[in-house]
Amino acid sequence: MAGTFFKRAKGDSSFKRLLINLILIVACAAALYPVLRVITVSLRPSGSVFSMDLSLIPPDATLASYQSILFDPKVGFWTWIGNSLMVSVITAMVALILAAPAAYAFSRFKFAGKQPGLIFLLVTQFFPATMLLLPLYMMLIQLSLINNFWGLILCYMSIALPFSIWILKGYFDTIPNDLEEAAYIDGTTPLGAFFRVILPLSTPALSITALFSFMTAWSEFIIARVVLQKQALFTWPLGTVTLQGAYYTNWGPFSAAAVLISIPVVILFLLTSKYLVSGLTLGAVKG
Amino acid sequence: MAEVRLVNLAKAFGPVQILKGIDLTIPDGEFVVLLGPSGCGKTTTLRLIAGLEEATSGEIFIGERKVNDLPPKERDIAMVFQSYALYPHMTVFDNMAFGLRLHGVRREEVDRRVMEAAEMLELTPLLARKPRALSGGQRQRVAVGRAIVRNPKVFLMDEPLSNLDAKLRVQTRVELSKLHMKLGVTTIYVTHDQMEAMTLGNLVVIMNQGIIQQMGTPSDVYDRPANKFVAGFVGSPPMNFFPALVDGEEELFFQMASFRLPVLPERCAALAPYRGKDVVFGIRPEDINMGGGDGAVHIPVTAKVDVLELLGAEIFLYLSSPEGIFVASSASQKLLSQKFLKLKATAVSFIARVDPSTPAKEGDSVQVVFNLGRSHAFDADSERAIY
Ligand SMILES: Nc1ncnc2c1ncn2[C@@H]1O[C@H](COP(=O)(O)OP(=O)(O)OP(=O)(O)O)[C@@H](O)[C@H]1O
Ligand SMILES: [Mg+2]
Repeated sequence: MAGTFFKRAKGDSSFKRLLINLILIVACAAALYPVLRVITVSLRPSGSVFSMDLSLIPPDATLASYQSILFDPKVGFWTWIGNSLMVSVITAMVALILAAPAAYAFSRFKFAGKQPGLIFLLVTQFFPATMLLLPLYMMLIQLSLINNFWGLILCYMSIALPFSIWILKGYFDTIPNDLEEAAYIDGTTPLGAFFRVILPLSTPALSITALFSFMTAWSEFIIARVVLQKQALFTWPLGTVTLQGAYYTNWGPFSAAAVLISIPVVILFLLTSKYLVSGLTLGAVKG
Repeated sequence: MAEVRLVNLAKAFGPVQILKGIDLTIPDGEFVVLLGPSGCGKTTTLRLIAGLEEATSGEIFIGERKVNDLPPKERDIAMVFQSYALYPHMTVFDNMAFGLRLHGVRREEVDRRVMEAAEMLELTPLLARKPRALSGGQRQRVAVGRAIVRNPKVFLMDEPLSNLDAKLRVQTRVELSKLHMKLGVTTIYVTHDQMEAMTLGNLVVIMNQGIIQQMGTPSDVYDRPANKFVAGFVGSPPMNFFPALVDGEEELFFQMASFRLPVLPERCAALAPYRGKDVVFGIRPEDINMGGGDGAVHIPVTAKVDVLELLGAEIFLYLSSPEGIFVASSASQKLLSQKFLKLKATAVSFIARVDPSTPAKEGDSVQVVFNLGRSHAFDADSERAIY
């Protein structure tokens, strides 16, 4: 996508290109500025977090905040990260395992309620999680899944699944039916064709859906706040909030935690970025 | 290897009847070409035999076995798709080995068979490549290779050459022909390209609108078309058709809008029941020659050259015959007059395929002679061949 964008831009007038680049620069700055500020604050010594100095790396830069986050046993940073990782990875895996066959069925088979089903899945995406909070909470109480990772995963699944099914269905639609038919003739069952031909061909779409599901769970706060009440079960969004005291917030370690937490996500994005571009466009173009 | 037999096979998609009762027996080891215009149901027939589509009614036999209810994998067939349908994520080798592995063939045997097929199709240097790194012709050969390694009872090929350029198409056609001679597997080959059909098939099956029109050797369908559709579909440029009235007493004539031709004595018996009725007279472009004729049977027809197409070894003349050189026989004149008025309304234009040495130019008036021994006549209503 980026490739074609710039190729097309080449044909444009230099004024248009200048304008496009200006807009992009402004957009980047707007997106990056808060992040850079957080990094700056995380590097300040505890005495000067509210300093008005605007330099990116403060003159008295120190890693003390990082040290206290990473190594202070009272903070529990590693527990939060471990909990978050577990919840997010399981959410991503289970969403993938359930979404792939569902999407395949939506893409290939005719059945009663197919179209309404798809629309229904889409409609669920219109409700913000906050709106679902109360019903989710009541259901989880009935299921005795409060203060339980599975309860949280179940909630995240209800957000991640519809989206994953839509993305994967869009991608499967682009894979010609001939391939499965060739596989049937070569000797697979329909299920065999799905596993041996369709799934291996869909790695881009599968990685993207996994990434989105992971992200859904990784940075979610409100549902986690309601479902998890024991400190030991806190995911990092809940954990970092404990750094905010009632009267005084330790902004240094807080920022350091924010920076550290974004590292796994950045790595994941880098790993899947080549699919992110090709896969999403492939999934979008039907044919 | 096996015989393939279709018995009153029908297929409908919803309310639309696509195949309307196909009866076809393909002898063991034969190379049969299914030829017909786009949308006539060729692919559908093939998919029914392959088991990718379920028959609405009728029976399919492969060898002695009725296969209607068997899934594709149990029918022991291989198919070359029009789109090739190579697995994009597998190498050429894996594409060809996939079916063998699924059938639990031993490793060494898989290697041996794939190498052998690759050798035959000159794919050996490409075995490690993915399909996307192949040219169209190479992909086509991989698709064929994937079919032959399996050593199936029947090959099904759906327009496998349609994506190739003209030269490669001819070349691959010859290769497929050789391959069939070598392997001797019953092959059903679908195409809408009649050149392909005439050169490849031992037997040609002509289909139209879900019905088999004729089955025969290439020369059968060319020289003795069973009906007007086959006559017009096979051959390029197509056969010329003239609406005609059968006229005369003892001697019969074809009365066209602007000229008349005698019916050869040996054809009179067949045409006698049509005396005074509409028929369609047909003659191929190559059976129309320049010249004055002999005056008796081969009467010259005067025509104007509208367009002249020079194609190297031959010339196509697009001719039209002027009106009003017509004398009806007195006896049937009354009977004919009305129908004849209708005939007159249809323009008479036709194509002749002549020697490039002809001096004719566009706009010229020329004399042509119809080789009546090679003409055809069709019933105007049923369109069946009278002879
Ligand atoms: N799944 C389907 N649903 C409805 N109609 C179909 C379906 N498959 C094919 N048809 C119709 O059946 C008819 C025959 O199709 P088929 O593909 O057999 O034609 P064909 O002879 O192979 O033509 P071509 O030479 O263009 O490939 C067409 O009119 C097509 O529209
Ligand atoms: Mg077809």
